[in-house]
Amino acid sequence: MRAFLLRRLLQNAILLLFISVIVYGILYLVPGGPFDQLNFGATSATAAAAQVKRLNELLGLDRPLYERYWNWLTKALVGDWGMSWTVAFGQPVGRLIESRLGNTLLLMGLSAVFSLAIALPIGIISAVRPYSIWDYLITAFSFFGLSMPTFWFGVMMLIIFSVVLGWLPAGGAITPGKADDIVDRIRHLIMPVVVLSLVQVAGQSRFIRSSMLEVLKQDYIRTARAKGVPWARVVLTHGLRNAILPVITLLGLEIPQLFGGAIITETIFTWPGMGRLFFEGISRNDWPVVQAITMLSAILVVGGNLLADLAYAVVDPRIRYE
Amino acid sequence: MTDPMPPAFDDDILATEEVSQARLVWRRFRRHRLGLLGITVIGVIALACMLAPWIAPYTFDKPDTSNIMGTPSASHWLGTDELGRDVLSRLLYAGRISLLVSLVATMLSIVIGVLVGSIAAYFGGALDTLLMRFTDIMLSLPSLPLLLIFSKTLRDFGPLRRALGDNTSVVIIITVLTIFGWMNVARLVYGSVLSLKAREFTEASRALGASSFRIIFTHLIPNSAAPIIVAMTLGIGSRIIAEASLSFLGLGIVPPNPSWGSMLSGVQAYMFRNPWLAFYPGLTILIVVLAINFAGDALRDALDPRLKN
Repeated sequence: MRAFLLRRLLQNAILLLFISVIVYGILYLVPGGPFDQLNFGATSATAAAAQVKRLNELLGLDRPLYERYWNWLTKALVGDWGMSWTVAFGQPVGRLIESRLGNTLLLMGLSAVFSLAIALPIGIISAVRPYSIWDYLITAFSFFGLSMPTFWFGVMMLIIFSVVLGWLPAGGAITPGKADDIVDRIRHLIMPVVVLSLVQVAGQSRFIRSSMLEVLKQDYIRTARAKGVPWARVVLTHGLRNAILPVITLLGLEIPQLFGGAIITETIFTWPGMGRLFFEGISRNDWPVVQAITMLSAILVVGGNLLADLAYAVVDPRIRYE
Repeated sequence: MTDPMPPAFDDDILATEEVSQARLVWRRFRRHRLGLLGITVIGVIALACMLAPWIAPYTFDKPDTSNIMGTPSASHWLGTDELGRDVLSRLLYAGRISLLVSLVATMLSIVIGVLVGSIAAYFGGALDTLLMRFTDIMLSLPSLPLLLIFSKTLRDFGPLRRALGDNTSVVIIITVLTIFGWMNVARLVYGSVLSLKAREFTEASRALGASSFRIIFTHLIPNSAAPIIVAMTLGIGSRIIAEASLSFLGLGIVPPNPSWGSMLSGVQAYMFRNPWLAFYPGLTILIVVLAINFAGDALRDALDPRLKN
């Protein structure tokens, strides 16, 4: 187990290093540079070029790429992600992310819990009563969920519940001056969480259905039934405990999707999280912010996969990592 | 003997109708009502989009300044947008871009995925490790952030823009969707080829002196066709959504070309005045992707009933 863990940690470290090189390369190799299109109110092209040159020198962008990357890496390893260029000029990127990270984790965490809380029961119902009216309804629902452009679903929710009905706030995480109001916080959370959960629910319920169908065909289920164990208990203990195993891996694999969804959802609902910060960084050429958040999301993904593998070993004693 | 000897048994029992594989697949496909509905809907919409220059009531960029954000009317069936352009016409033109992008990106992803998967599985060894580890790494990347980074930096790349002109954004989005879209097919083909190469017909073919190239391209890949075709069908749907998401964020298709996603970009600014503007493009995406998914599901059952879960 320890050897497995060490090997995986080493592999993940190499993977993260690889990702950082790729992202750094893409961001800084493309000629032009982030300031090319700005002219800083300069009156002539040469004056603007001089400004760009000065700014590049100031930020160290005139140094060779490998040297800059090395500088960035050694600082990032001790938690210094550099300064923001445009989103919050001169502020440390680390602090900027710190102020947003909690909101994003709240949104992602709630969505993960919420989607599983819905997908689990409907997946089980589908599997226990295959080809029943409920199964068809749930299948139809998941087809809709998988075919739905998330961002459009978000915009439609916004129009219906916020613009037309006026039931829910259109954006943000809190109403100014109501920071401690828990009801207000929940009202702000409802739409982003539902939007972020929809696709997950659709995929997960299909997955749980097929996993459960597979398990219910097994001999030990028939044995349990033959012993006279009530059907509900057979399904919920004998069946579910085995059917849930692949779902754990699925949850680990879905983290990138969840983070991608968070970028879109946070942008629609102006949710002050990391996803929106990333989008602002991209739109405004703030490479230090973009680089830092991409790395964080990669860590989230890699860590999530590792956790899923470990959790698998915990719930399934048959799994032994060598 | 007046009566001829009756035949020992009726020859008709043995006479079976000869059915080609394609016919068999079509027969199974036909049984899926939703699948049939799906391909009909896709066919009609794709045809309408292809014929847009001839059947669209207006061009996609012609503004009607007297009718800005008009509600649906006899002259503009689905209303007009913030510049007074006809929404129906724009939807038809946008479909050309959205469908083209997703179709080409899917094809390219399939080609790369099939090559990587089949080569890794057939040759094995170090090549296998190298290719499939790379596939795993690509699969574990946070794809949307990287898609956005690629789109943004490539777009600001001057020479590319000068070379491609108005089509820059189309080429860029096809490229990024391909870079991050081939891995699932690679894994699918890898698994399929791995099991096929141990089968007798591969052995026989090698004994007859066939080259590796020939074995891969005439035996292994064609025998993996069923899952590839299904992945392709479903892949088109997911790429339509991916393209739309990027364009919605302003990092996909940019004017002058409209796409279904780009028609929705910046729509939050107008949704208070005319919510319908946000409704139609998204509804179109939903209908098309739903139709594709139904067709893909039916196709999976028709091509290989064993794949059904």
